[in-house]
Amino acid sequence: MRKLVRYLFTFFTVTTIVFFLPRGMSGDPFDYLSDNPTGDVHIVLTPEQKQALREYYGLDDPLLVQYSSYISRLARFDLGVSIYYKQSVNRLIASRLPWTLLLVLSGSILSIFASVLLGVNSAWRKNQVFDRIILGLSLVVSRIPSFMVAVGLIIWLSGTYGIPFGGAYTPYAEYTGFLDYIGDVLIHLFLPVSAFFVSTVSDYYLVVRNGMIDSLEKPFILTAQAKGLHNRRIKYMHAFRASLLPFTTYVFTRLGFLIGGVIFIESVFAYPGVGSLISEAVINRDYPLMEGLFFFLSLTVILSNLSADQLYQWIDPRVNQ
Amino acid sequence: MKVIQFVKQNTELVASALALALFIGVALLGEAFTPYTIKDKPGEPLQAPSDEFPLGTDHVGRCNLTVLIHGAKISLRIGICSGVITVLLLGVPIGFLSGYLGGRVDEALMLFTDLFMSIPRIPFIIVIAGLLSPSTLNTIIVIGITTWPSVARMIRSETFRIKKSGYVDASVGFGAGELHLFIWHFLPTLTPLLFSSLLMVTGSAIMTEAGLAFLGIGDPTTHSWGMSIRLLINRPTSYMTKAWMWRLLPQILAISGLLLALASLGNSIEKISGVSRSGKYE
Repeated sequence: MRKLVRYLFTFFTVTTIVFFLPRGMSGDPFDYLSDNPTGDVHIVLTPEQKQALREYYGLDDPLLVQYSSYISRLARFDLGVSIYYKQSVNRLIASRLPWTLLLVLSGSILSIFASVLLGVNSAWRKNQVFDRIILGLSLVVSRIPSFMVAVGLIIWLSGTYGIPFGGAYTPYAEYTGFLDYIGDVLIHLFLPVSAFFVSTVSDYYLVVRNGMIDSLEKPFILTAQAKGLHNRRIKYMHAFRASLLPFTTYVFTRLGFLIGGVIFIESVFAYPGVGSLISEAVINRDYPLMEGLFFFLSLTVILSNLSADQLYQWIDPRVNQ
Repeated sequence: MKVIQFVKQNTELVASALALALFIGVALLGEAFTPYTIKDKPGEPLQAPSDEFPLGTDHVGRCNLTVLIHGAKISLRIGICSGVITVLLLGVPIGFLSGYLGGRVDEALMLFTDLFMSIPRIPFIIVIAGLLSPSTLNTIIVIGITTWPSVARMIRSETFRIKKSGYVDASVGFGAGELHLFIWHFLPTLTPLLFSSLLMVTGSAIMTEAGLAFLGIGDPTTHSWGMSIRLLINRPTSYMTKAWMWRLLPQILAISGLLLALASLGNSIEKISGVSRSGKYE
């Protein structure tokens, strides 16, 4: 209960910061729409037109009036209308979210499987050749920024094997059937997921390995060995199970951050996810879109923290007592 | 003989310190040894490596080796400045006060820390960096305000542990004042943790700066490693050539080498001093 109040307080503060911050800066969306040197929009607005637009979007109201309407909109989960796209922010996020979820979830599942397999066996053979190689490799790989991994993969795999590296599907393609469409989506997903996998797997691996090393020293492992259990059973059912708690918490808290954190990978592959929407919103100073995205991303972080707490209690009921 | 023994016992510490010293040396002195500066455009644009330009030239004819060396300076400057601001100005004071004073102050400060911890970090950095006018100082500030909470947490739990330890009680029993406690008990025990978190934050700041420069919201006038990759992929024809060998690979090796040196130096400091960031003892 206390935690829930904390989360609500955090949530409220974050949404407030996001509301006031852009309004404290110089420039507004219409300055950027009318003379944006880098954008593809070239319209020139007279000062009167800008003023009319500001009035239309309510941006010349006193800040507190804007703020109260912002909060009352948020309470109804209405994120407003994007100024740049002229679409409702809810619908924009809804159209981008499935792609991000596809990327993050499939990548995370691969990462988790590989890291459990590698981490468990690495800790089992601590300081042997296998462990040293995997540990060293993971330390190096985790230091390469994800966008560099992504660019490297494009050059290596796209250049030589012709795997598509832009977008989430072939534009203007005519599909012969549903399977054809799925195949197209999957081949476009291949490189982003590989980049995601490479840049997350070593972090998960280190958490699994550390947890395993702790639990392998516990007396119940000795008991299990004395009972003559099969090694695989000791590794996964006894030792890994005991270290499941920190790992699950880590995975779930990380998941919330990853939804917004894949922005680098999405931007390299021009993947139409939520992450690339953020940079578009920032570049165009699209206040409602920025606020809406931030509201949404903070919500995912808080929800994933909450679910981590819930899972924690479910896995280990002693926490409640 | 003693030196050899020390090196043998602390291989990781010595190797990572030497690697870091190499990077810092290249960043400080490297530009004095290259025949060109970052402002010179001595060659034809987009040339393959030659004797004159070991890593070729970029799209305006700059020497890529000069750009790489210049990038080390930018990365280290931003990394170290953000590290110092985050750790010394925010993380350590907040964490120490919270752990030492406890009670209401602790609760309030930790509420504040939790708040900053549950902000989606990367989107927040991008939104703020995009709104502030792009400059090195703003990049440092943005990294600072988003990284301090984890440092504050570590310092808090360590301070709390020291406060509860027997030797502080004994010292108080002998009539030690707060200043004495701070100088003789808290400071020496906290120092290794302070250095290791300084190294950790420096590393993560270098990573973040590279990302921001790559997205095009860093300082457009500086030529950092992230910016080099951005310039490379903005020219799609470079995908089909061998340009990655002299325009992508050196940057990857440089940044991962630097970050690896920082991380293993921090790691070995923790190992030698016996503290770990999670507050556990090994």
